[in-house]
Amino acid sequence: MIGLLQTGSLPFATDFAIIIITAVLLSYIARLTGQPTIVAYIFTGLVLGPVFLDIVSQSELVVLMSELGLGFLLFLIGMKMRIDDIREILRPIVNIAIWQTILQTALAFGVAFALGFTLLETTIIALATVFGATPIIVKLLSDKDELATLPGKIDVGVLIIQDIYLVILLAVLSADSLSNPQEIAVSIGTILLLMSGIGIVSYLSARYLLPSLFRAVAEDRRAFFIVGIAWAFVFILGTEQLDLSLEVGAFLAGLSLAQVPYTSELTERVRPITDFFMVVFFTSIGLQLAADNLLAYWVEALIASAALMVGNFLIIFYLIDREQFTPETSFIGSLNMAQVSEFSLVVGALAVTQGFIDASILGYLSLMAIVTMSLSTYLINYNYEIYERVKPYLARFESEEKRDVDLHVYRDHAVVVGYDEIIRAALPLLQEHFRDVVVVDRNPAHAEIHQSADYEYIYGDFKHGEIRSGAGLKRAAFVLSSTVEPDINRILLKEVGDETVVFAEAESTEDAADLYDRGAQYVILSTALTSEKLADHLRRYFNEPEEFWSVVDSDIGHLRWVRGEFDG
Amino acid sequence: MVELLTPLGAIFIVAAIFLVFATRLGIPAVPIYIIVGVILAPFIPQGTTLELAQWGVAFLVFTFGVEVEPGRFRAVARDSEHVAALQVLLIGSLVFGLGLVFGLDMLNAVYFASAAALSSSLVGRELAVHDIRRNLIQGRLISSIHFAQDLFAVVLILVLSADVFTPDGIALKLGYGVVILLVAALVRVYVFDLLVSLSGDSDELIILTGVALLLGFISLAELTGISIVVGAFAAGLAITRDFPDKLALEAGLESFDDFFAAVFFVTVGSLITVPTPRALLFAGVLLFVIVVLKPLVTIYALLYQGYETRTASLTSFGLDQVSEFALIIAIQALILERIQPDVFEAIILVAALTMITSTATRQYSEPLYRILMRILPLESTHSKLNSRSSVDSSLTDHVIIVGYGRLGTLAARTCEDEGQPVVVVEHDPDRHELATTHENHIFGDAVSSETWERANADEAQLILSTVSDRQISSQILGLETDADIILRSDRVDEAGELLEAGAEYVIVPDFLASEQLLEKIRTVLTEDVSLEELRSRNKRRLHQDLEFR
Repeated sequence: MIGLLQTGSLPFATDFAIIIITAVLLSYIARLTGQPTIVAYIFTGLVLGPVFLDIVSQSELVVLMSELGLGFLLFLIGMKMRIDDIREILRPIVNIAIWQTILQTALAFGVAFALGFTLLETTIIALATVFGATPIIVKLLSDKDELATLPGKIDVGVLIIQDIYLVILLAVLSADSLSNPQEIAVSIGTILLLMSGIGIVSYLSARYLLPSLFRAVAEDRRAFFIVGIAWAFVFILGTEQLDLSLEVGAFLAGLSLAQVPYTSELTERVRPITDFFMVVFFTSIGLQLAADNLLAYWVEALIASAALMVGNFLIIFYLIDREQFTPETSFIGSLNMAQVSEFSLVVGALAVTQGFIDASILGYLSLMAIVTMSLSTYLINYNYEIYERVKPYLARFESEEKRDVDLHVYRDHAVVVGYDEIIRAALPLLQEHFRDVVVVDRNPAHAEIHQSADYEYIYGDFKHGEIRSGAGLKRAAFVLSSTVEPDINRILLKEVGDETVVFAEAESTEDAADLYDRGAQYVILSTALTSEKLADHLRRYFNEPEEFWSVVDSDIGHLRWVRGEFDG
Repeated sequence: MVELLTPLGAIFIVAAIFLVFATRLGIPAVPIYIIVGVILAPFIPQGTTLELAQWGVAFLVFTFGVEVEPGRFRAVARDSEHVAALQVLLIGSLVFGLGLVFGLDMLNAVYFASAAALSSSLVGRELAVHDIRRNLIQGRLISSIHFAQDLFAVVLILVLSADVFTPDGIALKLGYGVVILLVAALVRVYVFDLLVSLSGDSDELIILTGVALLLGFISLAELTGISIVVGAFAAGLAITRDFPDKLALEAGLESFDDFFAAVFFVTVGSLITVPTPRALLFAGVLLFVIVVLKPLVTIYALLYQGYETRTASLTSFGLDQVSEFALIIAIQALILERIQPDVFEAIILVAALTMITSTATRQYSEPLYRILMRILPLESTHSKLNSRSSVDSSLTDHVIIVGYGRLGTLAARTCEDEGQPVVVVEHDPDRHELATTHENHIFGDAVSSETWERANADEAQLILSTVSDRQISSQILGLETDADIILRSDRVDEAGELLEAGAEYVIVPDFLASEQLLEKIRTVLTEDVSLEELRSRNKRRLHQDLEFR
């Protein structure tokens, strides 16, 4: 036993400390220049790898964590695949996604071929650069609160469909033998077969196993998280056994969870650790690049970036327009998508490992990713401003038949945090007044009550930013929070709009005063309200006993009635 | 494909299966992990997994460090430091002596003793979470004793990480440790808030900043050759508690913590091989000390300080397990090749066992307490009760009010205004202090029959409990008295049960409050008031309430 440990002390942190500190520093710079963190992560790899400093080595743990990064990322992506979210516009989205993939592959192929790459290289480049960068689009749109708009939904929908294609592509590329068309066809066939097999397993478990499994552990935060991670690992190890890439398994594991109500909370629990592993992942890509690799094709990369940004924009504009949406929707929707995804690096790195391309092509892809991502960040941030400028020129696309679908967006609605006696009594009143009432509750014991009720329900902890934005907190007209945790109420008050009415609960008068100072319109102090009633009761008890007993009887009757309703 | 992926996956999958069942039984995760480790031992490659396990150590200590607030030191010093010190020293020196008798060298005897003396805050606090959240006195004792012990453990780890145990060697390490803590203090005061404001509310960036601080400090510790535990602790100190995105950071760290703690404890379990007779002997001794001797010492120490027998017993059931810090000490010693395999295995084995027995003692704390009362000469000096309580023993037709919070205070005043004699029963020292304004007040536990005798319950007119505690409610309903009984419950269904069990009335605050709330909501939705006006109106109302108090 001891023999294995003869290395003495284990210096484990230094490499990771360098990686993460660099990533954080670059992220702060990115933050200040308005760039998304993913750009900083890619830079981290370049800075620490052979290109610049060459100070981090690819130890076993670095490799492990980068694998986990990619795996967990696809797990998260799988969990996000909620068909319900895009059901209203599913058909146009599928049309757009399929044609976009075909046309963009053709464009990327043409550009790369014209730039003089070999046929194999061109193929890989074309396959790798089709995707839009989900983390950038989702992050920026969510910051601008545009995710729920029509262009936002179209973009996210197309990205979701692309992810399916991506997973298949990764599986095919990681297959062992791809030397002639016949073998490629066979491995694609096998992979699709295996994937549908796992898909069936994941569908069946989503149907019969997962809801009860997660309900059993939802009370215990730690067990909930561990079971979620374990579920990903079941599929990761399973696909491994079948010689498929682990990303496929992770994705399908996530997919099986996508329709389970507990997913929103699990996503938020897995995300932080995934972010960290992702940093390691992008660093490990950077480690594969030598300095001359990165800049070997920099001219080509710049030309291709320009060509693809313009080309992608035109293709998607045409496709959205073809689905009879308004020019505004087409313009914004396509402007958001004008960049190359971080997955181009994933595909590229895989192709390098498989020996299809050499590292300089990976350098080319990295440059393209960085250039297009950085530029498109500004395009997304100023999308509506740009639209206003070019609006006159888009007049020829206007037509009577084109109109936008009316999307259901939470707006001027009521958000309710938690669930207890007070909330239960207030819900009917709120439902009377608001078109939408969204209840966010982290207590799994209430899940069944919520699911059978006719308001919207999100399972999760309100302390996660994504859960708050999922409930449309910023657009709410009324917020009723039954949590007494001051931190949650504070962040709630910070995020709501100026016109939002906030009722929050507090446990102590100090907390209550603080919440008023932060802008709450009313703070529920249930003991304060109760103590007044109790004092009344006591006075009657001593002075007018008969009245006391009759009041108490009616209270008890009411209580029993409520209880009966509660149980039933 | 990485070799390590399969064992890592196996760890999580098997742990998850076990956890599904363990949560039903209320067993904490830590001992489950250790058992999973024992089962999976053949599949876990030790070199790299141990490296990964270090991350578990780092995050465990880091989280503890984040929780440590300067303000808490003072609170603990006031509360229970003496008990912690007494218990740790007494048990520690006893087991240290035993270790020497068994032929261990000094260092191994220290490892042996640390396992016996320190108890696990991770497990103990998880088990006692109900008492801690309700701020019951045993809950506060448990968490502050754990806190003091954990601090002690960090210092111990720092000392034990010295290369040579000469005064110079230890002083050097301590010096480095102090320097790192100073750096942490500087980061806390000057840098951290800046980072938070620079992050611009990005949860992702805040969490990664936290991790970066952790890894940075650990590297610093590694460079100076002291234990990474000290680095992790310092990193925790570098993070302030009060900033807007704290929630995001805590939630994020929790994920890291849960992930790596699982790896750590499973790895620890996997290091156990078939124990030798000598290891079993050590384990037996440890087991006896922790399960039998330590609770007794704790109980007597608390009784000596004047706490009630029930408080003392319940507190001791929160401390009868091996600390995760003892495991960290053992692992560090294993890496430094200082610990004897037999001692190591005994510690790990007993850690898993006691964490499970501790679950049982916690779940059956009440029956256990009654058994203890019967077989042991447990006599509280009642010094706390006596010195602080004051009751006129000839009281009749009085009102007994349990709990002196907001409700209790107002109730007591109302009764006195109405000319009714009142006895206030409160178990929280701070609140009891406030209750001394009433002529009759008892500092005592409403579950113990002592208290009720003192309060002259059989002659009372009304017993009013303002505490939502099932046990206290049951105790009151079981009293032999003709007094009317009004109880409090926070749940409607429980209120129904209490009514059926004989309570005249049950206060359910949320229920009573909801009517008024509905009115407020109606006002907002129908009347035309400006938001600002509404806010200031309600705020004024709160301040009037405060003055009334």
